[in-house]
Amino acid sequence: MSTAIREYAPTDADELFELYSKAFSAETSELFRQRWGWEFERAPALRRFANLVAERDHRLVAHVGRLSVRLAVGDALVPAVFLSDVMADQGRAGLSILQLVKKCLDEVPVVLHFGGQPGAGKQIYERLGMRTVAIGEILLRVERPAGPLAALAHRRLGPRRRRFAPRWLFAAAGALLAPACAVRYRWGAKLPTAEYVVAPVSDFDGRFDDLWTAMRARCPVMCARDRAFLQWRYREAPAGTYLVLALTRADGSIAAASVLTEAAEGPARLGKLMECLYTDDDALAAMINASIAAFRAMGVDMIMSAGLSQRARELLRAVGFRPYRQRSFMLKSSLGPATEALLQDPSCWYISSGDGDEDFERNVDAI
Amino acid sequence: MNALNGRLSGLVARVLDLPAAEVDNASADSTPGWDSLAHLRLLMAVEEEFGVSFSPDEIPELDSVRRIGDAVERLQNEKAP
Repeated sequence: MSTAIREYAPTDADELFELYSKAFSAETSELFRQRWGWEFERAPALRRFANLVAERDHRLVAHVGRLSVRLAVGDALVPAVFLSDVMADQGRAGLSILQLVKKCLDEVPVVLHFGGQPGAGKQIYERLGMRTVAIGEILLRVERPAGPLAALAHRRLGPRRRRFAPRWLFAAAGALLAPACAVRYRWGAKLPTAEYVVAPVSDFDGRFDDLWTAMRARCPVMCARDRAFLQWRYREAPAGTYLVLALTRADGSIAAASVLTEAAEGPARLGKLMECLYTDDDALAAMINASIAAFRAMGVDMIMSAGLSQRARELLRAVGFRPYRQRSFMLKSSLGPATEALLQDPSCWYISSGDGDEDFERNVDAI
Repeated sequence: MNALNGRLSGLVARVLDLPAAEVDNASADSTPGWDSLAHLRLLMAVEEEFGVSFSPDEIPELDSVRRIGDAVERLQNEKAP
């Protein structure tokens, strides 16, 4: 009974989704089926790496998804993949997860992975040569304290007792905490900037390619954020609603853009700053001001950002965003030493919730 | 059975919770519970016990007690002056 590692074939679909069903639930399996083609077959890529499956005794026992991306490293654009949907049929999988990840590391120039939380899973990636790069800082700013209080209570109470703690129950405590939150999260603070025109955008035109070129000069390591990517990620996703804000100059060029979305965190409304792209620091500051104003207009209880550029995180902290936790991010590359130095330097990176399958759980919820 | 194999067998039996009689022929394919995580636990215990370090490339290949024993012997010989 040996294990064979091979590329996924369309004829594997039924068995694979049965595996999803076992690993998660029947409902989740159907949701994954809906996003499969969009994620693995239509993402803009230089070279598309097929997903891998492990077969044992003529049955699929494990799977690893390879979301193909174009990674900018300095002046070069290299093929890379994000590992996603790593799962195994417990009790039958043997060493297949190790073998699947190893094959992926052998075949792809740069392998990226969100996750690898402390513990056994992270040990697998580390022992196969992946390294953590500290670029996944999550920042949080509370806007309406009743929301996070209710979310915290729901998490602690568990599914059965949640109904005894409706959100309105936390309104008074939230009001009491508001003055302290106003100081801690710097409500009303604005970064000084020049004047720009801010407007929502329905589609990504050629000006976004220019913005990506400018952004790439500031952050030499980032997955492509050109028009093709943005359109695929934020306009063609099978679920999820995204608000795109663009900051334009008098000549019509785009100085900065951000992508905003909203998710439920128990009974609270969480605003997620998915992207923040910019040509210079002044435009970045103006974009942050505009994004916070948009989130407040949406009525979210808190705003969260994950990753982004180092400069964006500095400015977000200046307007009251506080470190919440670190999103684990790991990589392994087989590129040369000069490239490796760039990849390992957190200050070179731009990464966001729009990368990998970081935000897909939310999409799944929304389908 | 040499001293290395004896120590290795004892370690495998303890980490994978196997009867002593089944250890020598044990492999990932034939042993229930020898999955990726158990494999890492086992190799880390072997590294600690024998003072060796397996490379990332060989980790998935060491899928039987016999192969692990051969690798330990090779690494110890490489270390010897």
